[in-house]
Amino acid sequence: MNSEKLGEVFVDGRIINLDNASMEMLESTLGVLSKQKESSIVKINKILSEI
Amino acid sequence: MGKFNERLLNELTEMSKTEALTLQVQFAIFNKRLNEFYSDKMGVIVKNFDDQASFYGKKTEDCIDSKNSIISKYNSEFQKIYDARKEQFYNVVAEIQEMQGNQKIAMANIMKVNAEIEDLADSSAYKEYVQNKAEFENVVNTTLNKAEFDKYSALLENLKDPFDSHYKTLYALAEKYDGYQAVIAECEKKLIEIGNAAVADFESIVKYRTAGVAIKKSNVFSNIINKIMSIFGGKARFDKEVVKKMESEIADVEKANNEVVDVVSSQTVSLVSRIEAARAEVNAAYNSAVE
Repeated sequence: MNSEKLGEVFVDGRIINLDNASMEMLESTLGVLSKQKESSIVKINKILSEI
Repeated sequence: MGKFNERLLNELTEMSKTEALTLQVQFAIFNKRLNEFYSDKMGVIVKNFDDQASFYGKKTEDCIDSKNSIISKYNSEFQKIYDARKEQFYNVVAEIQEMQGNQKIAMANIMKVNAEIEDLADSSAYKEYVQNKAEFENVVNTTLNKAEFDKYSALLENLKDPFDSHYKTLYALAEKYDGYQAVIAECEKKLIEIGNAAVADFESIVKYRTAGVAIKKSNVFSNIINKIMSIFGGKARFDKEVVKKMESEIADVEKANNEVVDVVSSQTVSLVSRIEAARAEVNAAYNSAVE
């Protein structure tokens, strides 16, 4: 079966190969990204509250 | 204001990068689950074929063509499902990306309206409004004359705050952003569901692995009989008992799989149309709020 190749991404100071990384690594990366997004939303809300 | 916009723009840029990476990792998880499942199941199919060959006294190299043909057919069936579910996944991802783009536009509009508010605060129109408001309020609060009170109360009531429409737009834009966020959250759940559904589809490919071609348990006596029989009619028995049954199984898989692919395609169309309807609702709510 030919699945799509995704290559590497840089997250939280680490290079992660999306095609070879373990499921645990991918799940943990998703968790990191989710926290990063939450943090961005908090910062954006804080900036908007200054209006 | 310059710094406000700059800070907001920086945060939006950071968030865009995070969102793009999130979608990539979500797809990597989808891929990983399916690849692992595929490898496990293909391993079982190959081992089953080899065990059967051994049971019928065949060497793998003697039946390599049959083996390759069966493996290739199973591969095609896994591929069909993978492609259909991948397309479904990508369609939802495209909707998410579009909504995330619209959220950024809403943010950019918030910055624009905010800049207009700041300009307006320095304008003569606003200064006049502030002056009038103070004057009307003063009369309303101090006069003892009923006619004057009524007149200034009406003037105060009809006095239009130049910021009103801007605040209304800001509120509507924030609601629009949140509205998209709710639809995006639903879409992200859908991505997980698509992964689960793809695994279930993969399961259905191997459900046809019936007892008919399950490896027969052998003992010393049956081994001897089998070796004797395989000398005389091993190839014919192997073809009939294993190859033909496996080919018949894969024909059933192909038929069922074609139906699954059709169902997945219609699911994709209906899913995209439901997401677009939800997006249209968010836009309609915004338009109605700023009217």
